[in-house]
Amino acid sequence: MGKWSRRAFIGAGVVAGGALVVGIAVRPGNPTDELKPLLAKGDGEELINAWVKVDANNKVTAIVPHAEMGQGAHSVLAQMLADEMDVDWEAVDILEAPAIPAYVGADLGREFIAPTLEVPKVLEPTVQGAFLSLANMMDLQITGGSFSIRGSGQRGMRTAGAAAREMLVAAAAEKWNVPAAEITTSNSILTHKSSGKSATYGEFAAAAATQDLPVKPRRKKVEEFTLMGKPMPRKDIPSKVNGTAGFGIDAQVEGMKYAAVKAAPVVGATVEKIDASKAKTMPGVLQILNMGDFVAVVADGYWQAQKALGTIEATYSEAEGQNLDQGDVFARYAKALDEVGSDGGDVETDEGDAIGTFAEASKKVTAEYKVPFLAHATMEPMNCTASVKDGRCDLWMGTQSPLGTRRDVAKALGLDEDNVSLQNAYLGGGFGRRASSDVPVMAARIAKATGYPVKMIWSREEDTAQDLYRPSATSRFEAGLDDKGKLVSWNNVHTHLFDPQEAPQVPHYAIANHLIRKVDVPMHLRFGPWRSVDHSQQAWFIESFIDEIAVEAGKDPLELRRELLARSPRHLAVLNKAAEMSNWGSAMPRGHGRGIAFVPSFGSVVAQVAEVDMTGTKPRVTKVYCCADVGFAMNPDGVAAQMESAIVYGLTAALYGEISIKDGAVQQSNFHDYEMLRINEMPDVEVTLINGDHERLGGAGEPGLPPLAPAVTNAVFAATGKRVRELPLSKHSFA
Amino acid sequence: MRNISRAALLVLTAALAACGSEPAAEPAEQIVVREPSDLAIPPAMNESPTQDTALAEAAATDAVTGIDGEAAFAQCAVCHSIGKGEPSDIGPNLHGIMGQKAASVAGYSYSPAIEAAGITWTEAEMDSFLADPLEKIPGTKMASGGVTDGDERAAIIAYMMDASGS
Ligand code: HEC
Repeated sequence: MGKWSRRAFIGAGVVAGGALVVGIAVRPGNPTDELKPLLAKGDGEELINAWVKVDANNKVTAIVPHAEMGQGAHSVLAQMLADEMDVDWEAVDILEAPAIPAYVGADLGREFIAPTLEVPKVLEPTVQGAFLSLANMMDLQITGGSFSIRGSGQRGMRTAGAAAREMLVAAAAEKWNVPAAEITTSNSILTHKSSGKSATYGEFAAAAATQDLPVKPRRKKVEEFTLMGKPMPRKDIPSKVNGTAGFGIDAQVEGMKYAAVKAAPVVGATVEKIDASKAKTMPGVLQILNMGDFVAVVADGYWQAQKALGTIEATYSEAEGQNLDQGDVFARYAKALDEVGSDGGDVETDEGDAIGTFAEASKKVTAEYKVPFLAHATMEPMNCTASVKDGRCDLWMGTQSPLGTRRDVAKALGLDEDNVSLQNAYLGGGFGRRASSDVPVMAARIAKATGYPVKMIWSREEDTAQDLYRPSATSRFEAGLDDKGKLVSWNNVHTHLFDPQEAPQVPHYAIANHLIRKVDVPMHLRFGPWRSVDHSQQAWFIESFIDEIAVEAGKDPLELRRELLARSPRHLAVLNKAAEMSNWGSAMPRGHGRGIAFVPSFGSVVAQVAEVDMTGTKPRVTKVYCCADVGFAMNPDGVAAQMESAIVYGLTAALYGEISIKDGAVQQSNFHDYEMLRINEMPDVEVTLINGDHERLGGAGEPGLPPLAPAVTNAVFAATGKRVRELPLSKHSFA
Repeated sequence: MRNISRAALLVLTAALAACGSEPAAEPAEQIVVREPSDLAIPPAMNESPTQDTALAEAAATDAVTGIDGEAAFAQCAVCHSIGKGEPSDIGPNLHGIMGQKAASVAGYSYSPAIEAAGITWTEAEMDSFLADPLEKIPGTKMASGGVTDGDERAAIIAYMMDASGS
């Protein structure tokens, strides 16, 4: 990844995506002149449009509007741009987009896109449309929701690449005085065959920048793709292998000191008093701060800060949640669910007559499931480097939400957003944790108090105990089968703690009568998005219950799912493929079992079959077959890697993941009590991809996770006859 | 320490009205021990416990196995002190641990698992514990991988006895 020069960075103000692009699209006149000094730095570099830069040496820089957290978005976005632009892939560089407040203009964007916040269909394939649709995301400017490729890539990078190519062609046509239609492009070279003229993109970079943005650049058809759909090696991998990749935690700022922090163990409590008598005498210590909601020690070195912090005795105020224990959490859910009964709560979907058909059903199935709070456990500890002086704040970090961070830090410090800038680096894992700005706000407050730059790093203990957790939940189901064994009624109510709700509460199966409700349960902990968000809970509930229904109906779990998906050919194809891969139905040794789950999410469709070996003292997942349809896999290797990583992450949670509460505080502190999957526990994973719809792409980062847990617990049932209704599996004994 | 006493200075900001859920940006209490421009403590006093320094100080090598127990204990010293009366660290102080009942170091907060284990630290028990702590005591919070080499374990045990003067 390239770097913004310090000057450009300060000048630019902030870093974030679509912002810049909207500037181009929305501003009257061609703003190239204003943007050029911010983006172009080398000799002869010319800005063509906000998402691509070409220099005189024919180097093409893809300016990507998303964070790179291991998911590979940077490289694949560049791949999409390069294909549309006919660029030599070897000569492509990647730079993360900066945001410039003047262009961000959330208001500016809103003017254009309000009130629908939807881009009119006719505009969608145009440069304007692409940029505007990005503006939709701007208030969030988040790398999340498995959005990068299907949103920014499909609508933005491809359109930008096509536009850049047309501008280069137009510039050459003008100079050579030939019709644009006769010029061909490939590998960053423009050719006019009949006159024998040819030139590199670099030669026309300057002239291209003065061309108008084409209104509707032509994007390639699938048959014309040269890079899209190919497993191009990711550009960020070499630096990650040889150690030169820069993560947020690597930030080096002149005069920087280190901060270690400890927040009040119970969220909502404040630090009343600290005894720092020992810490004051310890080596390297510069400052000790009671920040109200947390204690910080600033020192010459991080370890010194952390050691001194460990000696500080603090007393905390009373807090509302301080008496809460884990048992109370589920008791509270049960009470809320009891209160709403069979028809109360907030109705999410109500079709047909679920209650009436249940009353008349010949067979009734009911079940209750529980899932725990989960932490994110990113490999790179939470950190942020901040400098606050002369009325401005500079931040260095890795974040999924540069704009949100900038806004929240500005608010906390009482600064103008324009005076907060952020340099985004690679993220050593995000999973939703780095979409929130609690960490940079803390760093900025410390830096403001000290007056010099500070790199704040959370210890693993702090990360585990002060995360923004995946909510725990309880879900209750009632289903009715008619006298022919057909599933006719589905009534579900679940607890709900965190907005926005991500899993659309529409069952993906065709069930004529269904009623789905939720009930809010207040809780003092802080919550955040966690890979696949609500699908991580809902999919386990739904896919476990479907399995139970199949058993009650005397049907094979695969058969029942097939029946319910009979009218969704794309879904059925994925389900069938996974079953075929696993040789579903073939005999397994004693104590072994096979389970299936099917979940569409984030626009993609994924089915998984897990095989478990229950002959030992604890469940051992030996194999996972995964079939995924993400519409069109822009980089099949990348999509497969995302499925594999979702399986690791999902299996970790299914087997071990549990954050529990005692006296209002989190009990876990590190990897010994918040365990990760070990390498010897990793199942063999096989992934097959189906390209089911190249126009409507789905996401890849999250959809591989939801089916994993239910596939595993359904397999446990197949092997042992024991139905798991509470996660994680480590809570259960199978001896 | 001289620069600390010279520069130690207490700044109390009365800013925080200690109520309301919005945290104030300003600290409630700010203790400035030293300005960054003041002389820092020499790096030698940095207490970061690295294996390098521990290894450098390693004493004589076990005559029988050829393994230096003290050097081998460096991997444990990351979490354990062993000197008499030294405070417990991430793990409990291990002075005089051999022959003791497990989970008996005063003032250390053990996991429920080790408290319930009912083990007395004989050489054999210690050997199997060190070979695979999680296998021996499932749920222990000693997050250490286990010492696979039996000779190395023996050397560590010998060193623990030695360092305790037994
Ligand atoms: C990562 C930190 C860590 C490392 C490294 C580590 N330990 Fe521990 N150790 C602990 C913790 C924490 C406990 C407390 C266990 C509990 O409460 O479950 C412990 C407990 C023990 C106990 C039991 C003490 C008692 O009071 O019963 C012994 C003995 C022990 N460790 C020896 C060792 C030896 C020998 C090594 C090196 C081979 C070692 N440990 C390495 C963290 C560590």
